[in-house]
Amino acid sequence: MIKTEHLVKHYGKVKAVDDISFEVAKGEIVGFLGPNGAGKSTAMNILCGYLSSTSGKAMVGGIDILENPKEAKKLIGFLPELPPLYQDMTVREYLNFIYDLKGTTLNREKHLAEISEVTGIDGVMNRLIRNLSKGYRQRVGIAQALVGDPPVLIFDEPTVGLDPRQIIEVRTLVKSLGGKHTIILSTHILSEVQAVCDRIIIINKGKIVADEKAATVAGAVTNLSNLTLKICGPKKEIMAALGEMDGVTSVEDRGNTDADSTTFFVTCAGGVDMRKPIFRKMAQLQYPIIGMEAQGLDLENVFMSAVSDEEEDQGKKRRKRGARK
Amino acid sequence: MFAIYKREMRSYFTTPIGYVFLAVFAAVSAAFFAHYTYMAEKADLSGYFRTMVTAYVLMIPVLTMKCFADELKGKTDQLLLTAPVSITGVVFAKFFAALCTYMAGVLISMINFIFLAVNNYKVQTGIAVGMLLGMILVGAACIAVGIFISAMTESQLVAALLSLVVLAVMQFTDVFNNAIPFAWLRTVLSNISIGSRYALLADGRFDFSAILYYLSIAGVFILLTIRVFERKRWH
Repeated sequence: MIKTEHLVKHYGKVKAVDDISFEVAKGEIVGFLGPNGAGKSTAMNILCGYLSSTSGKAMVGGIDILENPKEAKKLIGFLPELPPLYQDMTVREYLNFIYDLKGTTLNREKHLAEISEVTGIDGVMNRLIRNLSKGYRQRVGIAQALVGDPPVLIFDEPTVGLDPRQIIEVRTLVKSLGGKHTIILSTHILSEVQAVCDRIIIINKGKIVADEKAATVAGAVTNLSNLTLKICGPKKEIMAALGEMDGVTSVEDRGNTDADSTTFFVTCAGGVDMRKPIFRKMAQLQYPIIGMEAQGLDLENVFMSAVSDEEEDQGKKRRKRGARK
Repeated sequence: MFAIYKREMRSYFTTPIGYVFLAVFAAVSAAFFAHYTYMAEKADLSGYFRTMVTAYVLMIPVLTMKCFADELKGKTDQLLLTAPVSITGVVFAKFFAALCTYMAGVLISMINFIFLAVNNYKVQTGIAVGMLLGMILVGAACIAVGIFISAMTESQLVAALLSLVVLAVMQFTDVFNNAIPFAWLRTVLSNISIGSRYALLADGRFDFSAILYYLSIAGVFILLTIRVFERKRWH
């Protein structure tokens, strides 16, 4: 449904997007993840035809956005970073304007009523956008993208500035739109992509550094080879007891958390779930375990390692260049 | 395109801008009209026409200042440019909305002619029509200039002031043109001078070159505005 080939965008000398190629299948929800200024917004703006790429191709529904912008834009509903709202209009007037602007042919009353219900703005339809709270403005922004029922939806940081309850609502909404719509959403919040997306593309400094199925990443979360334990009892005895166990490769003392408990970091042999044996052993020795956590590779770690690998590589290059000079 | 035009018209008349413009236009035209015709005891319209188009320097920027500056500030240009509408369509929609509001002003100012009739002055219909056409053409050219400037800044105030300066330069160059020692500069200035072509229209003569001149000024600045947005895309 969406396809980019070697997208490059220069802002003067700065490369905002550097050779990005990816494909999104119909009905897929893809998350663009990356630190601020990574090039997510630029890539999205190119896809929507707001910016032109310096080189490379962007296609939506098989139509090149540069060659036939009008047709391609018909397929896209776009929510930019800042919802593009006219402050002096009421929500109803605004949505009617968008309806006309997009040249929608669906039944006006019914379509707009549906959208306002889905996005939860049916209660503020007659209020001036100027007077709406940030959360409602964001929702009106999403509603605007949905007008005309476009098959592709592109949301640039849809949950920024919302309160926790609204964040959950927006995520549920986006998730419910998947399947019927192809969605790309960008964020720098890791839990967001985890909660919403089928696939995650991590972008850093204009480049794709990882492109994985969300399930693969979620699998990494239940990695059981590293356990963090909080146990009450004498430090030395516990260390020794843990160290003796089969399957435990190393035990590390992470210090006292409070007066009588200590935190241990236990590394286990791959593929062995040591949680139950450790529990039984400690129970037998009457050292109560008050906390146990499998510290696997969660998304945060995947992200940090993807981003820092990149930085290391560049650091090396820079050092090399420096040495040559 | 029509949707944008409609929204633009709506925004002129849900904010005070449209009403202020029309009120000022009506007041100024009435004052000048009275001053140059029945108060001077003449039925000669050329003085009225000249003063009116000079006053556009102050009035048109009010009309055009928010055209694009407001969109850029609220980032709504992103909405227009990602909608299935061409940039040309967007610019023309804005241009026609401003032009229509302006023409409403011209229409209102025609009330003045009733007073002429009441006071038993006779004006040749041909001259009156030619003059109105002239007003619309000069207005269209000034609006295109104002819209172009509005597309280059996020600030309405900057857009208004800059349009004011540019329009003033375009109108008044012929006044001090003779003082310029370089012949080539005089030629250039007289070619961009809106003021230099009034005389042809002020007499109510149907002068084709003047009509073409104002139309091309409007066209050039509309094209430049479209270019501004295309350039922005390519950065």
